[in-house]
Amino acid sequence: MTAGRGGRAWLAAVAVVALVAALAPAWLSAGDLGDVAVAVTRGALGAAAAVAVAVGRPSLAVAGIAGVAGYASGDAAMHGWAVPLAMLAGIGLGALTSVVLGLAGARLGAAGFVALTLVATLAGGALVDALPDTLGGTSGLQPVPGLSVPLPGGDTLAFGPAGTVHLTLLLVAAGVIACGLMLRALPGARWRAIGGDPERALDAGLRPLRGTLVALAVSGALAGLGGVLAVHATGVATPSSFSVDAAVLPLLAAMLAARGGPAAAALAGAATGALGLRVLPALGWTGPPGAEALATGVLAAVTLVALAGGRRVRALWPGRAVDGGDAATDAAGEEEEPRWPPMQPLGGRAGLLVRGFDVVPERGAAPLAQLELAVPSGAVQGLAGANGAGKSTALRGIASALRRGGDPAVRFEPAGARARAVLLPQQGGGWPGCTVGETLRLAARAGHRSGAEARQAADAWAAALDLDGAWDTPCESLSHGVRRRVELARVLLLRPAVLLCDEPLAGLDGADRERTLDCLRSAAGQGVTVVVAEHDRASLARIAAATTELRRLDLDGGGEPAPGAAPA
Amino acid sequence: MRGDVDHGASGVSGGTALQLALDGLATAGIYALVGLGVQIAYAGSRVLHLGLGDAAIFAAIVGAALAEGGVPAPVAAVVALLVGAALSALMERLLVRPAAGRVALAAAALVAGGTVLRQVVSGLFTHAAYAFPVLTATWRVGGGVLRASDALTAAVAVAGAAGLGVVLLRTRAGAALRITAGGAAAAETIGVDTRRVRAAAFAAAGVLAALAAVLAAGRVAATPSEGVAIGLKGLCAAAAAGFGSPLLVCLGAALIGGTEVAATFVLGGGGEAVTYVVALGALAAGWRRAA
Repeated sequence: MTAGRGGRAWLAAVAVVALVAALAPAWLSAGDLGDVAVAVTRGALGAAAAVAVAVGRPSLAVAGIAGVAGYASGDAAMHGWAVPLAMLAGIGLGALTSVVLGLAGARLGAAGFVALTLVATLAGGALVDALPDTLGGTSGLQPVPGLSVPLPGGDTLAFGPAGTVHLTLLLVAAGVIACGLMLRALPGARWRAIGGDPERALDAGLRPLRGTLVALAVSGALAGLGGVLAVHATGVATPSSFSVDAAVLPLLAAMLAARGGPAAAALAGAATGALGLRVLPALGWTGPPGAEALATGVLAAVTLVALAGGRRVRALWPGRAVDGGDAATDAAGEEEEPRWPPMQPLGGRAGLLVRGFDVVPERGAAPLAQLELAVPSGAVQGLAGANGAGKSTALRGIASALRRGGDPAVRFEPAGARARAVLLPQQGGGWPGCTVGETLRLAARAGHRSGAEARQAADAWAAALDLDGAWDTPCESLSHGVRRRVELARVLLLRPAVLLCDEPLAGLDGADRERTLDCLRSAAGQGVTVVVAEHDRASLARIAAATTELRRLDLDGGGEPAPGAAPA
Repeated sequence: MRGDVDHGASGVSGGTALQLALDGLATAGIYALVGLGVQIAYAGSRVLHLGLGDAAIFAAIVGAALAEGGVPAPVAAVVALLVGAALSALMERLLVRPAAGRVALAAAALVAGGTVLRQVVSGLFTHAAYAFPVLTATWRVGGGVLRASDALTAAVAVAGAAGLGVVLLRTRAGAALRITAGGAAAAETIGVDTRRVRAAAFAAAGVLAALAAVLAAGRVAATPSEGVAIGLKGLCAAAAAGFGSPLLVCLGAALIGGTEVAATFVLGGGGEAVTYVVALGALAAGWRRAA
């Protein structure tokens, strides 16, 4: 898959850079080595920010978390702890701090989380200022013991400047590559699914908060690794980690890297660090602004240019043309009818029983309508009504009630069935942040398949819906028609017993409409109970055994639910 | 903005408490004005103006430097406001518009822009700090001293909030802001020039924040590094109000400003950390309410 190729390319680049830089101590002066170590650790911060961005939590606290870890490790080492042990404690504290911030900002949007993490970073700096006797104030905590490993017999293996750079490089490269591999594998796809659309992630049985906190813990641990290495490499922990200047670099590097992931972000972070620390001063730049601030400004400008107008830096994450699947769509109408993969519901068949269900747009609001439905297992039920009648609200409410359970107005039939209800939303398709392939594989795994079975099922659906050519394309880059096909495959791979479709035909051309109708009919034939809300009554009549008309209570002036059972 | 109260008192007398309250009022006024600036930028773009504090301090230092050079204070103040407006509008043009609706990217770019701006002002204006001339009259109120400049700060903040409330809710400009924030494409179909609206919103934000920074520079001489703190505390005040009523922004500012003055009085340097923690809580709680 191309996503894999993109990720692998960046991981390979990190490995090459690490190898080349490993030779650096041979031709760098001792004075340069400290800056090299700092630039390398900034790479770790960029990678840590990339992990947080993947789960939809753009954080400006990564450098501050590194500072917390560095202070903790430095202080512990100065109090006699063995350096490796102090470093582990610092990394752990970094992970914990990241999780706490994740909890504090759990309900904030991306921009809110950016602001929250920036305030938290400044709070950390203020705390350092407030405890000068403990943390060294503005002059910093020093002298922090250098990197060393206690050996049996009471000896200590201490590293000189060159050895410090080697060790820093090795550990950061290992951490970045581990995170890069993690993001390419199933955990990373889950995190991106959660970050892209938490509601759809719930459908797949993912737990958004738990997934977010795990990703943030990994991000915090990597930031902590960068922080402790910087402190032990330079021998001083300074409050500069809590400055706004330090805060913004990792996030911009992560945003620039986009789907290139931690490896690309690490390279962007390290390159920006090197630009500010060595390149600009070597070129004679004295400011204003200072060389490091200018490097950050350059990074911001490059990031804005790279992402402007919705364009990604394709080289970072190559993929097929955005609407490459449409040609296949047009041709598909002339091909023989697709053979649909198996869709047997997970946990067995179940019907749907809705009795006196109030369609409420939000908690505490007056009901828009009241709904009565009795849909036998394996049947297709239509739901019609004017715009604003509450069709989408009704489907969302039913899906939520079935997921939660315990609502007397909505239940599976027979009662107590251990079945799954899934909503096909009106908009979008797949998980933003994931490629088509990742979306299908993730959904297949969520349908309780083994790894091999999931690959097989995802491939079968990609073939059935002509998605092979778009396999490596990020879902948000797809055209509407292709994205809706991805969504159809996604929801059916989840193996629902009850499938609630919100205007599945909207915006589709003739071939895709036919294919969608045929797929839903086939799903019902394999035991899936299907409810379809749709304006196109002619199409509805072709697949639905019955259609219920939803009418607004306030407009129709009564509390009587409109019966309107229209036989197909 | 730290209140300049006496430290080390073993107990808090009525006069000291009153003085703390008066200082808190002035500090809150400054954060309220910045918060109103953040709010008007947010109302027009849904972007958090994280570079506003730096733009404001840049403007205030320009004004203070002019005043030090002999330019009459009112003229210097007007120049500062214009500089604030121009810088903020420039940030919108260079950093927010290219982000094309990605609010997190725009916020990060504004932070980076503020960083560059801070360095530039440090390089151009080399004094350690710049003070703005202020009204020198004082009145004794109970056991405390009310300075005319502090009273002016609080009054300007309340007037700014009331004015912004009227603009947002009762004028065509306010409607254009709300429509633009709701969706640029839809706004443009009914003839709203969304680019101009966003630029105007950021310029207005710059004026309000520069006004706050000028008033703050009259209390404590301004340094380039102060911009971040003023901007973020103002942002937290706006977030505490859920980016809703401008008068609620003032209440949020009162919470943060009051905490800062009281905590600094009790804890000294540790007061700043306490203030940030309270600001953090206000941001998280207020934003949830807005959601």
